[in-house]
Amino acid sequence: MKTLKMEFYKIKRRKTGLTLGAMTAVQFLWCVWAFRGPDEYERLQGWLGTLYSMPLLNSIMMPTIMAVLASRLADIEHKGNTYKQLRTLRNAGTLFNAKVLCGLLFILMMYAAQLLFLILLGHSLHYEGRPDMGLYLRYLFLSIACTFALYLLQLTLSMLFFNQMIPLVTGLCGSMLGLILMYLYNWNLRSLFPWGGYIATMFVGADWNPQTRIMTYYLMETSENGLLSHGFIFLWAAVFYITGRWLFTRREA
Amino acid sequence: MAAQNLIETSDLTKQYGKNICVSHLNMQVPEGAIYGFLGPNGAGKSTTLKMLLGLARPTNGSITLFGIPVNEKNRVRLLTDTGSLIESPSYYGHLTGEENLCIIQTLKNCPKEDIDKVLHIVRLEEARHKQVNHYSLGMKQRLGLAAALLGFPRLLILDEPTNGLDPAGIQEMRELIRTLPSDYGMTVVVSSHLLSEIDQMADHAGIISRGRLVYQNTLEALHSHARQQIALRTSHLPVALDILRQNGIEAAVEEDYLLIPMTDDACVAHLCRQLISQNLSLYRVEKREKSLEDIFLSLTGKEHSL
Amino acid sequence: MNTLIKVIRTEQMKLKRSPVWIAFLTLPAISAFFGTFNYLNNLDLLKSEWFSLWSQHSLFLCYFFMPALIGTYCSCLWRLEHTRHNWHSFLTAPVPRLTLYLGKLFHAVLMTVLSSVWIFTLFYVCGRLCGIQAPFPAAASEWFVCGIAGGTAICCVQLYISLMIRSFALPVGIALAGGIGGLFMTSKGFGLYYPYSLYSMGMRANNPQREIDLVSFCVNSAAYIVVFAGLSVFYLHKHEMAAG
Repeated sequence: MKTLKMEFYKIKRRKTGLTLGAMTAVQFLWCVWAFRGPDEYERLQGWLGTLYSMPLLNSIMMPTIMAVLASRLADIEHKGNTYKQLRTLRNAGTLFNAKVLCGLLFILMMYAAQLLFLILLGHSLHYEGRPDMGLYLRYLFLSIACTFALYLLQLTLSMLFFNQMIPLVTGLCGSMLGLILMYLYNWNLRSLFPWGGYIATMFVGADWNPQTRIMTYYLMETSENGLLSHGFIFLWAAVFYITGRWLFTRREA
Repeated sequence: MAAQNLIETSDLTKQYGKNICVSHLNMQVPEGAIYGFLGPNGAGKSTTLKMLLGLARPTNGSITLFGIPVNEKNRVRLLTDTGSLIESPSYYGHLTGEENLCIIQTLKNCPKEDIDKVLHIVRLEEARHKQVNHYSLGMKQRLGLAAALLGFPRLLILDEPTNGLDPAGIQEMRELIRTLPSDYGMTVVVSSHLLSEIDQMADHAGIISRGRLVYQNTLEALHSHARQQIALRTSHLPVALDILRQNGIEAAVEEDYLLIPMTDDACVAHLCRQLISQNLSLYRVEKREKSLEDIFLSLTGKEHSL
Repeated sequence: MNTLIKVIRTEQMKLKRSPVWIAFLTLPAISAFFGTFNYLNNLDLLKSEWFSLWSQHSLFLCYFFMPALIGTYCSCLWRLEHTRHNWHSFLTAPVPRLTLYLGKLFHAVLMTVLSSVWIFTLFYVCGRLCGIQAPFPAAASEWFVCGIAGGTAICCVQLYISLMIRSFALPVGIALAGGIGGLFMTSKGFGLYYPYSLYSMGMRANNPQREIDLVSFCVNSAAYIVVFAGLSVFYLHKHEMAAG
């Protein structure tokens, strides 16, 4: 707990929150733009439609946002050469956990802001009815898990390499994969990638009718493969946590 | 002017916001000197050196190096003749020591053989192919010095060059610096917060305290302040002063005491007889010793002590 | 001129053992692989051969990822000086500050050029592998030149941001956000006036048949280059080492 507090103390004046806030704001702006001017039919299914679009947006942006967050949290130690000093104060495992928790708190704040924003946006666009909180919580839970797994990966890379180019490029490649995997319909392979988790666990589908140019959203049944992809998210998180922690503690000071 | 001053600053002032870092500094470094720039931490040493190198802009006042004013137009020309090591050594950690020197050698446009020479001088020949990330602090410091020496510039500016070195390394660095003027015709400005260090390397000294230059002269002159003295207290100070003067001795007055330079026993006995014969009462005759440290502290203020 | 070559050579030395080129190989390769995959899966919709394939290859790469990649590279270039006290040696080298900056810009642009070459190579190879028989479109050379011009504008903007902000990651985030912003700007018709969409506009990403106003394109690219290069050099002049 103390180590975690120390972690937040260290990023004082580093404007990490602001950085994340700005990137989340970009995502919000994207939403405002994408959801603008709904017609009657779209209003009717607005709440459901949001749950279709958000995983796609997260899939593109979150890998890079996580790379930026992890790099900012890790880079203070590289820049100040404080790693050795910290190792004398706390054991490496505790240090790693503190960084992990610190990042997790930021992720939780981001998604809390996202939920608030989506509800406000929905109301301001006069979506029909009320949002199904059960579905929204399910979306949040899955997205947070997936984002957290990516954060763990990025944190490990950022801590291990002095050259921050490596983790950042990994993040970019992740964003790219996340984007491209969207186009691979019915391809279960996408749940194999940690960056594909957002899409693989989507539970709202859409039907596009080229004649009427109308999009219809519907709730998808979770198939066996779907359940498997849920499992993969947690598998990835566990794998990244264990290897990250192992690599970090094993490192010579 | 007997010897030409290689560095001259006039009224040099640097202000960061309301904080005056360097104040009306008139620094004079003669050619071929080893100028010890001495002051407690935070007195303004680094800021002054950065202004000499054009890394910081003076708020007021001017600087000339080699008789040429330091400004944007002359920057490149002046830097060509200058080597420097400021605060911590600069290096690209993922490159080897030799590659780091190669970068500076290319930019300074000096012969490639210089790399071998400076590596030899700082005794890093064996580590030349090792990545600098794996160097010890002392080795990095020596690499920094090697980089400063590249091209054998006329002027070398070293900011706390013995930082991070072990005692043997410190000794070595001092000896090396001492030979630079005679071996390569360099003028060296070396800063330190340790008087003893400057005492062992430098022949000129400038002492800076809270941004002001409180002393500047040869080190010899500083030492003369440190000489032992005889302190006399008598019943009538002005008369005693007169008597001493008649004996050809200039005495300084400090509180109730007269201070005269250290002299032999016979002379002291003679002076005492003279004073008594003039009906003065002689209360005290003491030997006073003032060390370099005392002088340094009295110049820089005790609250700023080391 | 001589000094500039020297500075470029030293920058080259500094980049030794930094595997930055890997990024420039991987991102376009991923994009090309999936772009081709998507093209082959939708042959019934995508009928204009080279142009269709190009739209699949270039869409995401040129919009978001090249700006972010250029941003990463610019961060990398300045981070060399932001760490290990290198500002001292960087700024006490007997070289005009403009030249020091041009050395950095040269390498940023060089990387943009090389990755564009790589993008076109992948495009050509994938096209032939897909069995496209038509001759390689001549317009591609124009896309290439325009892409470099627009890319150089992004280089200048990102070099300035990475110079000012001493963090590695933040400028990359800005570049990605900038790239996403480019999507709106292009769709609203402001693409030519927004630095981050200049690369994708120049490369005719997504829409090879798009007509762009070449004069405005060149003028705007040049304006961004001059303004941001000027700001960077001005910053290098004004910049002072903090008191130690």
